[in-house]
Order: sequence, then structure tokens, then C-alpha cells
Amino acid sequence: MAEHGPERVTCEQATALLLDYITGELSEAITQVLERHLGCCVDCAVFLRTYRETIRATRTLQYEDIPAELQNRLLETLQTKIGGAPPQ
Amino acid sequence: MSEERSHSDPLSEATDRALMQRLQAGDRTAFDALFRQYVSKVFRQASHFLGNPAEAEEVVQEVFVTVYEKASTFRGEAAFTTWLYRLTANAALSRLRRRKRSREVAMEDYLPKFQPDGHHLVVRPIVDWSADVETRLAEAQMQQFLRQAIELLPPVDRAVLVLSDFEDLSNKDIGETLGLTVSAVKSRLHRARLFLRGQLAAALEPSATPERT
Repeated sequence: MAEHGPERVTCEQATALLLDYITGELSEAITQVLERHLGCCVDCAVFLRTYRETIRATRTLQYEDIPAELQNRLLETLQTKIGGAPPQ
Repeated sequence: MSEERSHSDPLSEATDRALMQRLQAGDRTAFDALFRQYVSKVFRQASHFLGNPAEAEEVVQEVFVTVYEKASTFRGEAAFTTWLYRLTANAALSRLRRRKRSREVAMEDYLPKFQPDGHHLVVRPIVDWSADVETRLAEAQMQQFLRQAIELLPPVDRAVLVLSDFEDLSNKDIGETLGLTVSAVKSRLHRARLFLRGQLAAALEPSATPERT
């Protein structure tokens, strides 16, 4: 975008700016243009909320931790594997 | 299980460096200490990439064998954890790339659609499901749905998403880990998030089809 930026953006342009918007990486001028658009475009306002919520949901996903017995077994396996070889 | 240390903690970095120096000198107890310290983190990171514990276990072995065998190449210029997590990311990504993708999903079907004038192409009334996610995510089925959606991402997009949203790495660090420019990282991250948003929309909007935003 030009140094002074456009005065308005389309939904497509607004969507492309969301990643930098949520991390505060947009210039003040572009942020103002985007926020003006978000203030009057219901589709984009909803899109932003669901985009943010998607990130939050992804970040809260839980994966299994490694069980203590598996840690012990893995260490034993590794000790056998590296047993004969000194570190290079 | 030992407590994980923050990889930005200077004391931890000094301890790790000392352990690596001992390992370089042939002290195998240092290897055990490093393993105990970081096995959980490596396993979890590998699980995020691969989505199944059996493969994550194999990555753990591969990574720690590399730590042992390549100990002499660690110069301590970067933190040990940076090196370790890079080894993990690359080992997991290499497996992802070798995998036969069982289900091919057209990403475009789940990305937002726009009219020629740049406005959203939506079916009215637009549904705001953002308030439902937290409640629905409490259901194991929904968590599984989101995990499966992540598995549908192309390997590099998935790697970028994992390093950003699970490992909390900066775009610059992700780029260095995966050999991408920051701009490419941002582009892939945005696309991955848009795809997941589209998947969630399809699951949470009562009459949604993949074609709508």
C-alpha cells in the first residue's frame, strides 16, 4: 500500500490485513482505515471475531504428554543405541 | 518428570551449555540429564506436528540420537533449546512430507470467498459462531475435529502453524527454522488459520457449506 494508504478497503483487502492487525503490526494509518471498515461492515466484524476465536481454539488444544514409563523406556533404548559410540 | 525450563532463561541456557560441554567431553550422564530435561517438550512438539504419539516417540529417538551424535557441532552461539527444537521441527516435517496424505481436501473450499467487487460472498444471515467455540471445544469430539483439520494442512503450512500457535515462536524464528522468509511465514500462517476458520465454520454453522465464508 502507498505511504499514506488508501482511504478505504474492501472486505478482501481487510481479510488480508487481519494477521498483521491482530499482532499490532499495521501502521497507524492502515489500522484506522481497517477499523473504519470493521466498524461499518458486519461481515468483516464477524469474520474477525471468528478468525480470532479460531486462533484461540487452536492454541488451547491439548495433546497427550509423554508418560513417565515411556520416558524411561526411551532413555534405555537410546542408551543402547549410543552405547558403543562416543559423542562426535 | 523434571520441570521444563524456559528457553529464554539465561540460567537455563548456561546449564544447558555446561551439559553440552560435558557431553562433548564424553560424559554420558550429561546426555541423560538433557534427555530428562527436554523429552517432554520434544515429544509434545512432535505430537503437534504429527498428531500421533507413536510417530512422536520415533521423532524423540531420532532427535536425541542426533543430539548425541552431533554434539560436537553445537558451538553454543544459539541457545541449546533453539538447536533442539529446530532438530525436532525438521525431523517431524520430514516425516510429514513423506506421509501419504490419506484425505485430499481442497484448501480453497474452506478459504473465504469474495465477490468481484471485493465484498465477502456470504449466505445470509451471516452466523457469528465465535461465542460457541469455547463451549463446543470442551467436547472431546470437537477437539478431535480441530486436530483432524490441522492434519489436513499441507506439511509446511502445518509446521508454520504449530511453531506459531503451539510453540509461540516469532515469525522470524519460524522462518529460520524452516528456511522461509518472514513474508512466506506470514502468508502460510494466515492461510492455515483461514482454512481452520473455514473448517470450524462448516462445523459450527448449522447450514454452512464449504463454499461460504
